[in-house]
Amino acid sequence: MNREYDTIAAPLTLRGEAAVSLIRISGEDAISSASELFRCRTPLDSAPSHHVLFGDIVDSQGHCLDRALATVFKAPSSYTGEDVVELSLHGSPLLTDIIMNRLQEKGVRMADPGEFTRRAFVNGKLTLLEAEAVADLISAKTPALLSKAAAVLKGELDKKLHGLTRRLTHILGRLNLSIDFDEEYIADTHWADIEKEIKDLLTDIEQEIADSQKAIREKNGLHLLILGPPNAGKSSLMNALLGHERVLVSETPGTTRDYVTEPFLLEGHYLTLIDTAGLRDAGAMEIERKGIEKARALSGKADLIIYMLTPDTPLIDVPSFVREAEVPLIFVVNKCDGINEEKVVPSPWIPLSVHTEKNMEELKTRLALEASRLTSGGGSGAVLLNRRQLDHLIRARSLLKQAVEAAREGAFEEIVSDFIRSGAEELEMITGNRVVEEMLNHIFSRFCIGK
Amino acid sequence: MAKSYDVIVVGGGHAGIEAALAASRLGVSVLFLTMNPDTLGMMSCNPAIGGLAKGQIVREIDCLGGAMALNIDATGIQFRMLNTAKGPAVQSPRAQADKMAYAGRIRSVIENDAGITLAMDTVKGLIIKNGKVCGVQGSYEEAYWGHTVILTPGTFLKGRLHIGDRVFPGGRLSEHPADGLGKALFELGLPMGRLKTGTPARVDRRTIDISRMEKQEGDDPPRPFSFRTKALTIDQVACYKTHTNEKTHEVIRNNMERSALFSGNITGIGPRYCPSIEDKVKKFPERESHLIFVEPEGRYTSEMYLNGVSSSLPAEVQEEFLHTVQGLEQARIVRYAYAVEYDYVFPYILRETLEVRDIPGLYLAGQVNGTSGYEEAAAQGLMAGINAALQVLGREPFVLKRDEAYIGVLIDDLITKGADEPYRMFTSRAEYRLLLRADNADRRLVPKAAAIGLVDRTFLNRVEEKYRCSSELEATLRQEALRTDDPQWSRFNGKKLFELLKMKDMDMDSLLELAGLNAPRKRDVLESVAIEAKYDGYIARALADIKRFKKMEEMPLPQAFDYTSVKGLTSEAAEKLNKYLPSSIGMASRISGISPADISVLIIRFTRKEGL
Repeated sequence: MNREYDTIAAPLTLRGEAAVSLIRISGEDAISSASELFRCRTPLDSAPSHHVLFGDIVDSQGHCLDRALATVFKAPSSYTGEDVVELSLHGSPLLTDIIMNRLQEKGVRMADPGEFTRRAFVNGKLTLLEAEAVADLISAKTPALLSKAAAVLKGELDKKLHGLTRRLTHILGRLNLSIDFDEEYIADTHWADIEKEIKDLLTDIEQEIADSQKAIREKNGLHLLILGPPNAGKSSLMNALLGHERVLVSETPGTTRDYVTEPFLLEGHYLTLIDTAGLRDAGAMEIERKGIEKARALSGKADLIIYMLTPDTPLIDVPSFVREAEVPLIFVVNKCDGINEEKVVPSPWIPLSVHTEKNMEELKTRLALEASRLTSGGGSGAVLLNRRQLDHLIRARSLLKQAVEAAREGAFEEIVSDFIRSGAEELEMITGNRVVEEMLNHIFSRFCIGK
Repeated sequence: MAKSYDVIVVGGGHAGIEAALAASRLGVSVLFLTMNPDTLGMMSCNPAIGGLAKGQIVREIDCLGGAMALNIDATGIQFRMLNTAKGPAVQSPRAQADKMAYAGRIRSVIENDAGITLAMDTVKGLIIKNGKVCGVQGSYEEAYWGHTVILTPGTFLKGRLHIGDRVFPGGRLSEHPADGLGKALFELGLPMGRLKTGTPARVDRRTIDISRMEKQEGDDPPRPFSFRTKALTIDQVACYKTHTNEKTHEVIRNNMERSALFSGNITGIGPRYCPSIEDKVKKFPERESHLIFVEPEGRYTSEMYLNGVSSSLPAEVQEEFLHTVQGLEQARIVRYAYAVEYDYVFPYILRETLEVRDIPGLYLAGQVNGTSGYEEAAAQGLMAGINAALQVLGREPFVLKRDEAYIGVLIDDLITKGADEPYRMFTSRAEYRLLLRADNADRRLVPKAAAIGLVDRTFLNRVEEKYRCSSELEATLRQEALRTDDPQWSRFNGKKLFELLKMKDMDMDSLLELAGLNAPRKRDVLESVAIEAKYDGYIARALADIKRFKKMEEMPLPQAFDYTSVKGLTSEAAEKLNKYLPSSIGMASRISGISPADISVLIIRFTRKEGL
């Protein structure tokens, strides 16, 4: 049977003991294959669509294995647009396995990752952006992201982008009127108007890009890099923030030789903590030196950096690559306890003691503040939520900038028009109005099984 | 059995002429049937060849060995380059023709072609055996036998002419329609529709006051259409411009319901881009005037063509509204304006070769496919003629792609988008118009044409020589830097010459002089390099674009397939795909009504690898 049209099934819930396990079966034979394992007063094939039925899960001999619920969704009014049956049973992994095995015996295939959503897209139930939003909604780590993904799922992003495309098409129409009707409808090109219109559009696109970058940063988790000389207590800080001993700590300088990452939720912000090997210029062993190199490289990708010293180090001792990083920097002086407590720490350095938890709350507040600065904005409205979409928008921006530049330099209509047309095409690629095969493959490879 | 021809061409208009000549050029025997040899190559409407986008098509026809460009060069009476305020990619040559001379000369070209047998008959139907075409039925002769048949009936299929409420059967005023052939095509089951177009009145030059109109002269020197014409030495004639005014519009408004267009007499759809004056007055009430070009119909006739005011108003109303126009107050109409309605075939039934998919050997070209314009017709005739001959010879078909020629855009548009109104070419229809220029048609097409045998070695040699010189010059300019004492330019010293050429106020002649590169060079070489410089970078971008979409563009789709079996396609999409049977994903994506989601379905259905 062709893989496109066969009937597929997968558990929608994670494997493990739980209250409920949900199995979705989708395709032409969904109802007939489900009726062989679900017995109920109303046979499934005559059951009304979108009604919950109560009955027995039975084995091949007809013995009851569980009491369960079944819902039939008849095509095209289902998630995938095909006939769908969803079975809710008690959350036994063994039972789920038995059902999946029986379905496979009936010729039902285990769904590929993302296949339900792909079928929904193929059957016109979801647009490309909406299909992508499903993945974003599922993986959303913060309430803000959740509401953004939901807005995309509701079609708001489609609407927004179509608005932009329409405006571009309008400008194109005017340019081409003057090219294609040179003599008939003499319309001199009003370059100032056209330039202004493109610039207005650019302003809107800039805003979209900024919002999107924030959202994507939030989605990927803000990369919080902890830097400092060896034995400053960076790993201890990481453990303290996480609330558990993630990193091995010792009194020996240079214990952390590679970098260690760990996700971390702080007041609704999703962060990735990165502990690094201590920075020092000389005397390090080969393996440690590599760790230091990595720390330098990481600082280029960080969204936020904590630079940590101890009271016995001169405060000016901050490497230039840290000082020049274009991200918010938080300077802390650790080990401000015991004998060193009386030492004065000048602003903006924050005196800290991971050990006594001195100023730890203040540090967390500061981190949350910086995180919200980095990710806030754009409200809860729909924004571009992934790199594929953002890349097209950035390309559109650059093409439109070139259009403005060309218009200003007095280039010909057909050249300006060419940039604008390409820009509009980029927007269409975001919404999937211009389909490229690689794009589709890329998109659907992002899904995990059962979604 | 009577003699059998390789190719039978039916219809002596611009499509038929190129079809017959192209087929003969490839060495096959051609029977050329026309209702009347006197009207071969007639220009039914405006006395001009070329124009925006159309000029590019004429150059392309020339480079594929066609006759149109040479013919207008020989018989044109005014030559102009249009759109000179814009870039070279959208500039187009246009010429006023001497209509009689144009038709007369092309007739002798046909008559002197050894491979073409010209005969007069009105074709009534096709002879089809085992689903394949094998000849046509005439009115005077029972049957003409041929391996392939190219139909180019123009506006003659059930042609009806309208002047006010009067209706005359005909393809042109005073000429019979081809009702029999129209009926035969319909009975064959070809999907057909009705279109409308119109032509304005012709007035007697002696009764108009050109001194009160704006004069429009030809270019000096005039530039030929054909790459094979060395130079034009002609005495050019002038055209004139005048305008309609509020009074004109009032007359038209008062008589609107008497126009065949609005009285309900005409059901065919007219061209939005070439509206009648009634249409213009109705659709643009805010416009106080519309432009009229007053163009001579020939060097030795006093008839003047009123470009811009086609109409189907009654004769007396035509006179009344024309008399309100400055310079036309006393104008005497020689021929009245009329609208023509005719049958056409929905072109989705065609392959890229213009062969009817379901009737092997039958080709359609020109207005019968829903286009408008001599140039669009000629281009199709040429391609149909080439492909019919190649089919007879058992050779590979010849298809041009959208990034290779306007002709490719034209045919692709026709078979994917169809023609809901008479189709006219525009530069904006071509995604890659920076590449599809009038100046480089030779570079784009002559090598292809030579490979097939459409143009001779001399033409190819000349083109190769031109671009060899161009490359040489370009290389020099890219290498050499400016070194001058000229106070205006010395601040650019050290800059590469090629870069300087990109500047707006720098032209090739000044640059060469400035740089002291005075070796004599041909004009077309200089021009070609100058254009390459102006578009440098932009062309690279276009090429990158082509590459980017190429994979999808060329992803093949099956030629015999039932799309209703593809799940996920809407039934409308499946029906459309069954109708159009596109040869590639790219082509499918351009079919109107096929959504991006449908395209995704096709991509997934036909290219999906396991485990996506």
